[in-house]
Amino acid sequence: MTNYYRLLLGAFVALICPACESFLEEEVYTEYDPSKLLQTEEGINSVLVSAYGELQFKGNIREFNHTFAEFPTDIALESGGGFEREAILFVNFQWDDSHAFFSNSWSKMYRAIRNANSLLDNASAVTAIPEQRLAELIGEARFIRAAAYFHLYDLFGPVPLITTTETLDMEPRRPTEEAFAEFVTTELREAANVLPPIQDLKGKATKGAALAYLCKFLLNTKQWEQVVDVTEEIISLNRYALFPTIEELFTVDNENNSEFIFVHPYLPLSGNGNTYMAHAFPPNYPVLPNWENYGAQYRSYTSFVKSFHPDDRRGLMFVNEYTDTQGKQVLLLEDGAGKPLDNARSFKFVPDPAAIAAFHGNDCPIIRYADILLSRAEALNELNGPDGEPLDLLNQIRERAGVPLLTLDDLPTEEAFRDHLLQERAWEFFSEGLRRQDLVRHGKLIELARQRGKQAMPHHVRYPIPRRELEANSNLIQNEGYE
Amino acid sequence: MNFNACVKGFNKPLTYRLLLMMKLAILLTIGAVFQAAASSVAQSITLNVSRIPLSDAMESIRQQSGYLFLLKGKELADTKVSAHIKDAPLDDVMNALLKGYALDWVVKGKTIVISKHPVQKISSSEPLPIVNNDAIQQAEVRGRVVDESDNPLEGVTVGIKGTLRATTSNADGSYQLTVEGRESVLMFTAIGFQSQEIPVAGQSVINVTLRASVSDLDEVVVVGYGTSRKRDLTGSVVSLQEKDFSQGVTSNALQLLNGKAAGVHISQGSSAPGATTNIRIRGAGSINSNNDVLVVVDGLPGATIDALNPGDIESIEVLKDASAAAIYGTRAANGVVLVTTKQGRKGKPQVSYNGYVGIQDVAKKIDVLSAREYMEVLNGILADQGADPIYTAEQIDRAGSGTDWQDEVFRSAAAQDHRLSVSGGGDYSRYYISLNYFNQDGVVLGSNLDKYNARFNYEISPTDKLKINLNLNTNRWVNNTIYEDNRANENAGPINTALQFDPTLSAGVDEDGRYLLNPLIALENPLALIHGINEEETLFRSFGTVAADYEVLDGLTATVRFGADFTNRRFDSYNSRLTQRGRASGGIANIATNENNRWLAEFLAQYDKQLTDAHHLSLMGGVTFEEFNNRGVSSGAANFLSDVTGVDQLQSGDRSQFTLNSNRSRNRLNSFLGRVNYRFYERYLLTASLRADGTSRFAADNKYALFPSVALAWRLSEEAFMENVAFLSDLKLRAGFGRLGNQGINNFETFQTFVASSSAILGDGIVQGAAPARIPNPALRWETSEEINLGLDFGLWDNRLTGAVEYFIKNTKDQLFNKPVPATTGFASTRVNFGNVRNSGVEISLFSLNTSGPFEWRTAFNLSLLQNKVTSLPDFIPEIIDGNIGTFINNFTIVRRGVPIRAFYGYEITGIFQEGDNIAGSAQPDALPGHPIFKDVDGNGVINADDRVILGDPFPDYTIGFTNSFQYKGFGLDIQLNAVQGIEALDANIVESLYPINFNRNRIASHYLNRWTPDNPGATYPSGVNPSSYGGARAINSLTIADASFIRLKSVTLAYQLPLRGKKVISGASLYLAGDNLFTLSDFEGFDPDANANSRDGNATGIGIARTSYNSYPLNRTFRLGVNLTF
Repeated sequence: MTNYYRLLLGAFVALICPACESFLEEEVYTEYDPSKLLQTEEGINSVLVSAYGELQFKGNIREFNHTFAEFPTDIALESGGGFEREAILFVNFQWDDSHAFFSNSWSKMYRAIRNANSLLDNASAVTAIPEQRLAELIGEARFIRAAAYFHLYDLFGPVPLITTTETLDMEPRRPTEEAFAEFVTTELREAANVLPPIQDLKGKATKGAALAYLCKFLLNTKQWEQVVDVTEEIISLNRYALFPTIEELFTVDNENNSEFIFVHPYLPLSGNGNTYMAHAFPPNYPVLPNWENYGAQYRSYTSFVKSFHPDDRRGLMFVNEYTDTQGKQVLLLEDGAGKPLDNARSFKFVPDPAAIAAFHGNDCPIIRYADILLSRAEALNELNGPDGEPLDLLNQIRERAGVPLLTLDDLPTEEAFRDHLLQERAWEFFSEGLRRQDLVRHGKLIELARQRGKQAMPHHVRYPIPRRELEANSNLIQNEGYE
Repeated sequence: MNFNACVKGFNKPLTYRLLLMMKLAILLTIGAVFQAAASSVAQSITLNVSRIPLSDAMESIRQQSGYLFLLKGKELADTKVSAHIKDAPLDDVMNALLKGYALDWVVKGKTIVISKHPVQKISSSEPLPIVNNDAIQQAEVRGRVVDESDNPLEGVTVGIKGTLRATTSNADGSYQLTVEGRESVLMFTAIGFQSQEIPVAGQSVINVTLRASVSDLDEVVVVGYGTSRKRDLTGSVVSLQEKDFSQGVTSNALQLLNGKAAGVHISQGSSAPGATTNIRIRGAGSINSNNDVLVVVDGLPGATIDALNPGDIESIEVLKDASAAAIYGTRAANGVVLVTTKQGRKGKPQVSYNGYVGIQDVAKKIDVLSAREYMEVLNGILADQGADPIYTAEQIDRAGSGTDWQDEVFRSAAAQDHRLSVSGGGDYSRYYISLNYFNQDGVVLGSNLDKYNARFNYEISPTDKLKINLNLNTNRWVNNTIYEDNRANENAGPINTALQFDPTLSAGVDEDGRYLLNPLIALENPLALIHGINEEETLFRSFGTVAADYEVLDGLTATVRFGADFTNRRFDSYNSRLTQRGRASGGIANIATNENNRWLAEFLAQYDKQLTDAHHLSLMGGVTFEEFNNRGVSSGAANFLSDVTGVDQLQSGDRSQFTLNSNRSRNRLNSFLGRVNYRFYERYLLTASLRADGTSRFAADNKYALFPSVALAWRLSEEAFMENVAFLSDLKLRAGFGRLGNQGINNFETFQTFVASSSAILGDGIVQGAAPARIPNPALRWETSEEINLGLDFGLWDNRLTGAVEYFIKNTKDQLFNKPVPATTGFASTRVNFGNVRNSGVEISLFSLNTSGPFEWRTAFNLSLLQNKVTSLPDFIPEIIDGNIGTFINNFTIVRRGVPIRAFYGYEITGIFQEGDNIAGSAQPDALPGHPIFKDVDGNGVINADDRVILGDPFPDYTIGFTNSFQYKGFGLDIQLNAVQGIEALDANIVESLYPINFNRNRIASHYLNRWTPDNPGATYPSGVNPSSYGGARAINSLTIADASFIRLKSVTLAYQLPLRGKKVISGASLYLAGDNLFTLSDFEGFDPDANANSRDGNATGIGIARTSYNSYPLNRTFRLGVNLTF
């Protein structure tokens, strides 16, 4: 019936106005024909850039590095601003699967995967690109895809593995832990094999970056032997070293250092800056006229700030009291009576003098060399106990921080070393979005939250699969505890 | 009176009371203000005959004028007559034709009756003349006929009652007639005017003022691609003439319809000068696409209504139902508004000037805490949570009321409007030329609109068969707007900031010339936003049509029409160092320009023929082509040497911060259309139309679709069996069905493209990426509405009471839906056709003339009842929860089967926890006394997202327009009342007051002066202590979804017609004083229950259906003094 009707209509139009059909052809001015775009190296490159663009947290650094990774932990919390309505759910372990932060983050990572897949689907057909260059492009795309899966796994556990754009799978299933781990490790390994040791632009994938991601994935999945192997490989690249002064590592001036293995670069430009500091300035803090101070406040727990050794240079990165713009002395750590205020501010990302409003230029490291050293220490300790190299590695970090070195007397057992390492990592990596995964790996997330009086449940070690995703895909199974 | 109660819970007694009140009002004030614009029987007839039978001559006149004729006496038909007349009015032709014969003529209805003169035989069906045989005296009576504005009326038939003797008034309205006997009664009749009877009673001079008629079924109304007599309408069409228009300070002609047509809901996103006007006809059918009406100006679809001088408008027709609108096919889904501009009339040039000056004030402020209250409340909340006070008793004592920031940014503002027009014409051409200047200062500092408009309408008839029409309109508009941004904190606009800013700070500047700030509040100073940010929109819009009608054969006319519409827009904004943001960036400048142009070509043919006495047939067919082009470029720079150059020297900014964007798009439409109108006697009417519409936006298989309609009408009052129902003057039943389309999709949705997106930061620069744009769907087709309309038109007691009752059901199916797909595809959704929305409703319109004579009182009343319901949704989307406003307020609307589109969805608050309540055992074990109690809907002992319920909807249950007009001597009083009842809105300002983003912000006074404390357990509002702990995440609740019903005294106009003597220069003058928005009865806490922030927030979702109130530009109360002059 419909076909007859179509036919009739078509015949009618053709009869009355033969030119009308061509009159209605759709002309495209501002978009690209994929069949032409993907034939050129520029086109392939632009697709690669869009994959990087989605992998980089950029405006979502607030969710990835702070809301998900630190507010449910023992080091940081948030209050104030309209943002508090969202953040408080994470501080208090009250999130549910409808929260937009989950679907936003999920979608962003899968867009990175889609863009990487677009390149991988088309790259081999491009004859204009030299073989070596093509292999590198493919390596970058596989790196980006695997890195996106790394972040998805960190939040949600194993998620559907999408490896092409050519067929649209509307109901993909979740793979097993093993299959997922196998995919991510293989991809990162193969990317590392073809990626160059250095790239012309900061923020692009290198061999070291692929190995570092591999290391962190193996660490979080507790594949200790492989962690030892991979860290060995990274160290033997001889490209990376600890920056001598930790408290200056995160300034804009020092961002081109040899400690950051993979970074998300930021620029002091509207929409492209690191907005951490705008959240960290306390109220009425004397800011430069070009700095914006948000209503939302990133705070640190007093117990955490007080846990630093008095000589610890890392502890210098906190503002515990200040004189506000009206000349008033404001205490942040404890009030006059010694009551903890949980209001100290981490100024780790030292404010950028050239910032524009909330947008500072400080790059955000995703993995830095200190993490590789401590990961190696952790793996070696798990395998053989603390003696020897694990303690050396730990002391490299402590030495740089200016705190007394530790001996086997201080950390005689595997367990003592493990517990200390978790604490050392908090001192070293606060404000960098690693605390939650460290606590999860050490099985401490829930325990510590309960000690703070939160209604944390065992299933809270993973976040829920976003509800809209479950609604759109009946094959998807929710994480345990969120059904 | 609590209107809240009568709507929210459908509290019956109160609803009844309201309805009763309305009914009573109708009964008391049955009347009408419906009139036609036609001023005389000005037909243009050419007759060049020598000694032909009278019947042949009359046939020729019939063809030219449409008048039927009746010869009383068979022998008259053969009378040989001659005439040599070109383009003369009917009466001249008839008088010339019959000169020298003992014949007289008179127009009765649409029939010219010719009889022997003087009349001697009276047909038995006509009443006998009252003749005093004893004293037959012949006497000459003369006089002058004028309309209510004292303009001479030409062509009025002046007859002697009971006889066929008649004459017509000439160009200056004068007439003379011989009467026989003192008892004679003169009858004055003219189309568009009420007839009058005046006994001669020995007078020799009888001057008459004719009033525009209550209802004239011969009035011609404009329908799509043609015209129709009102009596022949089969669909639902509202026709408004200039005199019916709603008054007020407005730049937008759609406001002329406000409250005047049943089923047509006019609202304004904000009351800022130049703000857009929203019009919804019969609800909203589309969940995800556009719900805007199609506006057609002089045959040009999609013309910009903002770019018109409202004074140029002759009439506005609203095609409400599908049978009337289907001729516009794919763009008619939301109804069609036809605007017809004025044309010149034959005669000497007529100059007219209309103008007013007005003064506007903010109709309502929001009552926030004064400085003293603010200090006390903040201290009180701190005390309740065990914290130290921030203000000392001494500070509080010194505070007083502090700074009222609303007073600082609001002002009294002037408005003025001047309209000058010249019109006239000769035998071969007619012209209308007008100029308009409109200037409105906004009631918020810094806002101002300047609008200039010129129009030239010209009609030329080189030959009898050819008519060429040119309509040109050009418009320049410069709108200085306040910075309106609904983002949070320092990004918020001045109205949001004025409501929440620290009342203890002074409004002055410090020693550096900077406005004061309270950094704890994280808001910019309201005056810094007003004076520090300049935004200016400049529009240059021209549109016009040129059309040629050629009469190919008798009754067959071919029309070619070309139209074009060009809009150039430039938007400048400069953020200076007066603001924190401007200071941080060293000044920020942006310029965006956009060029929209579109053209139209139409080829139409029309055939119109009275086949026999019984059958009248009219056919129309044609083909149209349209193209829409859009190009734009925008640029930005920051960090200038100084603020003084503003946007005028972008190149002096910091090059690394330059931004540049451009865009271009095109789409096309091609349509074939046809219509049949058939009439059997005057009783049975049929209209059927068909349009095939094609668009470039769909894939080849779906480019074209058919949009048919059919409608029938039966004029019962023409039936013989109704003849004896004396009180019934007109009765017509109508039924219609039609199908309409909505092409609200974007370009390129049916195939894949890559778009520039997802830039990355690599190295020290931003690198642009490209990514696939969508999951294409080549099967996309039009969103289609089908509507059934039933109507009853009636006229009672000589049409003193006329009206219509209509019922409609409209189903909008194949909704263009963004089907959510798993984000694992890399996409959020793909566009598909699915789902159905039903709008149904009843509309009642009444017009009555309550009293006539020296004191005249007319009433117009309209009532519309509307029900909107989503009737089917795809199974892959059981419901859509979205909606966002501002930065932090989202997910407040729901689309779910069985409830209205974008109903409000949130938590119901049942009370407040008191001390001693078993809180630990409740569903909110963490709550504290003073926290709101949320209803545990599913009873599972936990409050979570599943406990949300429907809290209201954005569609009014009913709307009422109620206008009364009084005339006495030269005075006229016009009172218009509008009511919108049973509508809800999210009041985002309440959200921000109850759940402040920041503790130190100011809040709405009532929420905190009556907050819960242990000493005030009966309070309406929660404690205010750490509000995010009691449901910042549940801010969408029964406290923040507010009843937005209102009754408004829209306008009152008192006019006085100056009695002029001599009329040498000025032929008419009147003065008026008007008040607009004089009062509003409503429980709504915001500035204006009628405002909708979602319709102007570019980031907001809901396509204008979702309703929120957020920092709306306040409503103006206006007084205007105006004058109308004709020369």
